[in-house]
Formats: sequence, structure tokens, C-alpha cells
Amino acid sequence: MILKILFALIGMPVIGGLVVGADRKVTARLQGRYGPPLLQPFYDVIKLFLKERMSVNEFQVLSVFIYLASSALSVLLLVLRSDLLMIIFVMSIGAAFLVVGAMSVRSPYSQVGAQRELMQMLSYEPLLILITVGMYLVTGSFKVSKIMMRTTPMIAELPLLFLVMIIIMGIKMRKSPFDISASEHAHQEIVRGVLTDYSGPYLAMTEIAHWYDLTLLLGIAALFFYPYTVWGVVSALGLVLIEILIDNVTARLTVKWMLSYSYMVGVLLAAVNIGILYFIR
Amino acid sequence: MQFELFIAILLPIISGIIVYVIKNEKLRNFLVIMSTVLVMLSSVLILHHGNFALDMEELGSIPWDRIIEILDLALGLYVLYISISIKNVTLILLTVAQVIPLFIFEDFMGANLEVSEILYADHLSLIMNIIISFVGTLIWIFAIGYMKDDEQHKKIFPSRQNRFFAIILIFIGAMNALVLSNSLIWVYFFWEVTTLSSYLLIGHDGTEEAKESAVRALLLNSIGGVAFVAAIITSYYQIGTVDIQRIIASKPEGLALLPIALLCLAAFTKSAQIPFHKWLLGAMVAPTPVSALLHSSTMVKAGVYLIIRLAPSFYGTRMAYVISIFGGFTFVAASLMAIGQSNGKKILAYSTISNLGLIISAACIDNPTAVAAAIMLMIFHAVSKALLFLCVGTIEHGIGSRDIEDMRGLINRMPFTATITVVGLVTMLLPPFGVLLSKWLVLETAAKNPVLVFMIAIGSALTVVYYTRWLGLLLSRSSAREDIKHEEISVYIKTPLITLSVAAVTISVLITFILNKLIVPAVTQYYSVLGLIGMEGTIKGTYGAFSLWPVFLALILAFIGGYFALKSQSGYAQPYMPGETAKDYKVIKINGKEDAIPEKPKIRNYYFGDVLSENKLTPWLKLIAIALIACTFGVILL
Repeated sequence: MILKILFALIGMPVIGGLVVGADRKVTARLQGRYGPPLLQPFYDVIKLFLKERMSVNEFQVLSVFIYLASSALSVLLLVLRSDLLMIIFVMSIGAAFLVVGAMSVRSPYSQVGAQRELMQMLSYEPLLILITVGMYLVTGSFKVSKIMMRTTPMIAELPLLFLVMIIIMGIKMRKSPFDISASEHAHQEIVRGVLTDYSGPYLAMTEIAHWYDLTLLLGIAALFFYPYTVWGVVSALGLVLIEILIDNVTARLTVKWMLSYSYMVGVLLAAVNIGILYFIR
Repeated sequence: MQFELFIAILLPIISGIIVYVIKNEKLRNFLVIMSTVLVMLSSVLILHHGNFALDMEELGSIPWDRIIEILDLALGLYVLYISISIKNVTLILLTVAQVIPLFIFEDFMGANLEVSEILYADHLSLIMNIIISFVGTLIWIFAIGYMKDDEQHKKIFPSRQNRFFAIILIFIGAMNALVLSNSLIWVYFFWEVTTLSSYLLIGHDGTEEAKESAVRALLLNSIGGVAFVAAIITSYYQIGTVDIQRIIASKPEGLALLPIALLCLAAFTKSAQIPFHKWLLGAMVAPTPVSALLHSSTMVKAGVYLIIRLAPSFYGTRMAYVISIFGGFTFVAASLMAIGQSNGKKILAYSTISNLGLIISAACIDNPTAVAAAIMLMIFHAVSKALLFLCVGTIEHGIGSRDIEDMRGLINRMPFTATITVVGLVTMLLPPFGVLLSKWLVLETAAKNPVLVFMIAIGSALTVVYYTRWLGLLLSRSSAREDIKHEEISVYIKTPLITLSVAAVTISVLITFILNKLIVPAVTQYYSVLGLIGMEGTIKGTYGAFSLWPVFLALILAFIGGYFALKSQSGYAQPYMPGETAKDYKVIKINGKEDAIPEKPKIRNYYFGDVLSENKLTPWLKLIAIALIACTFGVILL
């Protein structure tokens, strides 16, 4: 139990950080650069923690802490195999407070970033809920512990919902063409949307919270392949690779495009998959 | 028991009459406060006593049924008088269609309308009674402070407060009676009393807009009234009784479902479901305590109460399926409309409509756990929504606007009210608070119904958007540490705000207790199995479980961490805001269109005015809703 908790709270974000590091390396190679070392995200975070601790106001600080706490808790709940829908709801607390923190600053950059982040949330949340619904229809339970009693992988019955994961990951990781509220890597951006006014240790905390979120999604993606855990991990990492490719061949698009895309394509894929499941049973 | 019931029902009505006749402010305040304390006390005693069924003795030599019948006729004639005096033909027709059939039915058809246990309380009634008696009375107290300010603002002289208080007092008495009655005829009478009260209250200010909204409310609710009368008559001929408990026990099938469908239609009008939702939007012209009452503990809750009450009678039928889709549709459509609004009261109104839709939907899902979720949502929504309305009213008096864009940084101008509003918003928006927990439960039980689950998934994502950005706006503060103002608020306003916000948090913490003691018995009485239990801070259902303590713990840790981080941080930073060079240019290109550079940058939320315009969307939404209602009746005939 204690080992599990430690793994969830410390091991998982480290994995998230490594994935982000690998992402930066691969992206660099795709762009013909050498790229930073694999551990660069950790160096960045450590450097940020050593900076002077300043915030614009107290609500920003509170928001950062709530964001980190709820993201960590959602990963912990996944490791402890509780209710998937609950996990997603807990994650949404943090996502909401990231927006609240940005909105508490009266800078137009933070404000616009916050509005766009809300639209990112609006785009991926229903899809994420529908994925849990699909898993429920296959396994008869929302609990990860029950889902993990399966002997055949769910991907066989939920292939389209796995494709929906690509959209969700793209939006949640803020990869092109969904890097609307901010972009995953700072790229060449001067002002970084919803994250503009988070600085120093507080920015580091949002980064760690992001690692938690990333591993949570990778964990859910891996669930599709359970009990073939190795395949699950490989496919989850494959998803990241796909995101990197898409990121590098597309450009940032608009909020309205993202909303209509995730609702048309994402919801349609989910509907077809869930519809088939429903009629087969 | 008789005595507690007397206090719960008749005391507010008697106080109302006294308040109306004697226009003394001190006496009025005393009576209101006394009634508040007594009514709250009576509801606790009634709850403590538990379920009961009671037959009323005769009053003198006249049976109570007869008294209600006479009062009912008088009420109908009064509404007819109103509709004739405002020369509204539709309204006249709708009123006549209620008064005459009911009169003929009661007096000339020789129908035996006796109901053996006229006052009946199960756990559902007890829950309703507690909500009404606590939330409703706290709104009375708020009104004492608010109406004084309000009349000064609007320069109303001579004071019309006696009329206002009389109606809101009677309103609560009638609501309590409505949820405790077991005869359709009685329920109809109190139903009509609440309709008339809301008409009088919405029109209270006497402006053109107020009158128009009041008439619209009366008109739309009269459609429900006609449906109700039709339900009474068909129920008598199809099922053979107007006793609600016997109707439920008879498990009607086929055409016998018609009265139930009619009652559901009446409930849709009362709960302001699309296409009848316009009256609730118009109702916000009334003074704030009225909106708070209509949206939380009274009026709209009567509709959903009736549906939850009747749900066991059509459990698992095709009609239930259609109604659950209808509710889900209202949930998602009203949430969508709320995104397009910047008017705080309108956002709250659309949010009420959508939440009521979800309650109706949940009550009709063929799973007892969903019914429990519906009751749960009704409780939590009542408390948080009453709180939010009272907050918006207080804010409006403070800053002269109810637009959320004007509430930017309200935490600096009205720290107390803003903090309370934040509590209200958080309890509506986030887990582990009750509203979200109920939504979680609805989603898990709706998962078997593919159409419904899509609507609920999208609807809840929309809800997050419009509440989160409101929360963010309130909490905006610049690094300049502008003088944080001290807020002067009357004790009458402060007390209900504090009580309700504490209650909103407390009942969420105690949710497993409330679930086990109140909600589970309310459901198991009518449904044999219920796969739901609260244990050790965890709500366990058949398909999943939600543990509350980890979430509360994480939030508390975040608060503590934030507190210490703030205490030791080196100072406050300036927000990033360049743009000095902008003044060198005359025009700016936004979305491909050239525009003059504004003097001051203006930031607003996304409202998607071009897509989410009320005028453009509403007709389509209405069309779909009407089609769904037609289906409700259609499936009975199949």
C-alpha cells in the first residue's frame, strides 16, 4: 500500500517528466536540431524552484496548490484502482483551478489564455467521460479494480474510443493543432497563454501537475490493453509519438475549430463505438 | 403531530394575513423571525417523528375536503378575475378550462373523492419539508434586510412590503402543504396557490416589464394547471382514485398512464423545462428574494417533487425512457444557453433549468440508484442555488449591476459577499461537493442509456465552463494591492448568507449520513432494491464508488500549503502586460478585420454571441422539446 502510494506520488511524475524529456528530444530531431538532454525537464523544474518566489496575488498561489494536489490525487486514485469517473472528476478540480488562477491576474494574456484553456477543457472532458462509459459498457463497472479483472484486452471492443484518446491527449498536452491556450513546449512563444503569470516555484508546480495529468492519461490508455501490460505501455508511448508527429506537421488552429473538431470527430467516433457495443449486447 | 403540522402549514399563512393587514414594520419583522424559528423547529420535529399518515378531523361540521374545494373555486375565480382585468384571452380560456371542468367534476358527477389518509409523509416529503422550512425561511430573513434597501433604491412610496411579505409567507405554507398532501385535489389547490403567489410576486414592482413577466408566468403555469385538472379527472376514471399512494401502488399500464403523463406535463411547466422555460427567465425582474424562492425551495421544486413522487408508478416503462431523454435534453440545452450569458441572474436561471432537467431525467432512469441521485441533487441544488441568488442580489445592491463582467475583482470591493459567492459557486461546480457528487451518480446510472449519457457528459462539461469563469472573475486582484474595502451589510442579510454557505459545505461533508438516513429510506420504500450505500465517507454504488475523504484531504492540504507558501514568499509580482508600442499604430487587425485601437484594452469572457444567441437557438430547442413531449404521450398509445 505504502509502496503503491509512493509510486503514484513520486514515480509517476518522474515517468511523466521523462516522457516530456523524450518528447523534446524527438521533436528536436524531427526539426533537425540536436535537442536538450533527456533530463532537461527536471533541470528546468529544479531551476524554477530555486528562483525567487513571487505571485501576483494570493488566489494564484492557492490555485496552483489545488491544481497540484488534485492532479496528484487523481493519479494516486488510478494506482489504487478506484472509480474511473471519480478520477476524472478529481482531475477536473485542478484543471478548473488552473483557469481560476490565470483569471485572477488582470493581464490580457493570462485572461485570454484562461478563456482558451476553458475551451480546451470543454473539448476534452466529454470525450474523457465517454471513454469511461465505454469501459463500463464492456466491463460492467467504473472501478479500475474491476476493469483489471479482465482476461481479454478491451481494445478489441473499443478501438474507436482508443482513437479518441489521440484527440484527448493532443488537447490535454496542448500539442498542435490544439496548442491554443498555451503550447506544450515553450517553442518560440514569447507569452505563454494560460501560464503567462505563473512564475518561479509556482510555475514549477504547474509543470509537475502537468506530468501527473500526462501519466494519468497514459495510464488510462494503457488500460485499454490490460492484461497485456507491456503492449499497454508500448501503445501509450506510441500515442505520445503520434502526438509528437501531429504536433510537428500541423499548426495551431482556432478555438472554434478545436471545439467543432472534438465534437464532430471525437463525439462521432465515441458514438459509433458505444452504439455498436450497445446493439451487440 | 397535528400541532407541528399546524405550524408548518397554517402558521406562515396566518402570519402572512396578519402582516398584510397590520402595516407595522416592527411587528412584521417580529412575526417573520418568530415564524422562521417555529417553522424550522416544526420541520425538525416532523423529521424526528418520521413517516406518518394522518386523517384530518372535520373543522366544526364542515369536512376539510369541502373547505379545500370551496377555496379552490374561490382561487380559480380570482385568477379568472385577474385574467379578465388584464384582457388576456388565452389566459381566460386556460383558466376557464380549469375552473369549470373541476367544478362540474367535483359537484355534479357524484365522484367519490374521499382519500383516507389525507396528510401523508414518507421520507421524500420529510426531505422536502426540511428544505422548504430551512431554505425558504432563511430567504424570509434575507428579505427583511433586502426589501428595505430595495424600496429605497427604487423609490417606492408608500411601502408595499406588507403585500410582499404576506405572499412569501403564504408561499412557504402552501409549499409545505403541497408536499404533505396525499390527495391530487389538495395538491392541485396548493399547486395553484404557488402559481398565483409567483404571479403576484413577479409582478410586485409594477413596472411594465414586471407585469409582462408575471402574466407570462401565469400563462405558462396555467397550461400546467389545465394538464393537472385533466389528470385529476382521467385518474379518477382510469385508475379509480385521486389518492396519490393508491395511484402509485396501482402500477398503471397502457392508457391508465395518461393521468401520470399529464401530471408530468404539469410538472414540466412548473419546473420551467424547455419549452416552458421562458417564465423562469422573466421571473428575475422580481426582487431577489423572489428569485431565490422560486429557484431553490419553492415553485420549481414542486414540479420535480411531483415527478420523483410519481416515478415508481411508471418505473421502467417506455414513457419513463422518453422523459429521461427529455430531461437530459433540457440539461444540455439550458447549459448551452448559459454559456452565452453574461447576466448573472440569467446564468443562474439557465443553470436552474438545466439542473431540474437532470433531476427529472435521473428520476426516470430505470435504476433506483438514479432516483436517489435525483433526490440528492434536489437537496444540494436547493441550498447552493438559494445562496447564489441571494449573493447576486446583494452584489447588485452593492455595485448596481448583475453582469458578471462587472464583478471582475469583486473580492476587493465586496470581500464578504464575494467570499460567500465563491463558496456557492464551488459547491455547485466541484467535487467532492454534493451537486457534483449527484452528477457523478447520475452519470454512472445513465451509462446504460447511450443517448442520455452523451447529453449528460456534454452538459456537465458546459456547466464547468460557465461557473469556472465566474469564479475566476470574482477572485481577480492586481498586485497593486488596491485598498480592500470593508463591507457594511445588515445583519438580516449577513445571517442567511453565512448560514446557507455553512450549510452548503456541511451537508456535503455529511453526505453519507444524509444518504443513509434520509435518501435511502425514501427510495427503498418504493423500489425493492437499491444498490447504493454510504460507508466510511465513501458512496458505494453497484458500478463504482466515490471516496470523499481523500478529496477533502487533498483540498485541505492544498489550502495549508498555499497558506504557508504565501506567508514566506518574497513579495508580489507585477502581471505581464507589455503593449507600450501599441499607441504607435492607428489600426489593429483582428480576425482579418481592421479596427481602431481601443483607448483601453477590454477583456471579456468568450460568450459566442454569434452562435449561442438566445433568439436564434430558442425556437429550435423548443421544437425538439415539444417533439419529445409529444413522444411521451405517443408511447402511451403504442
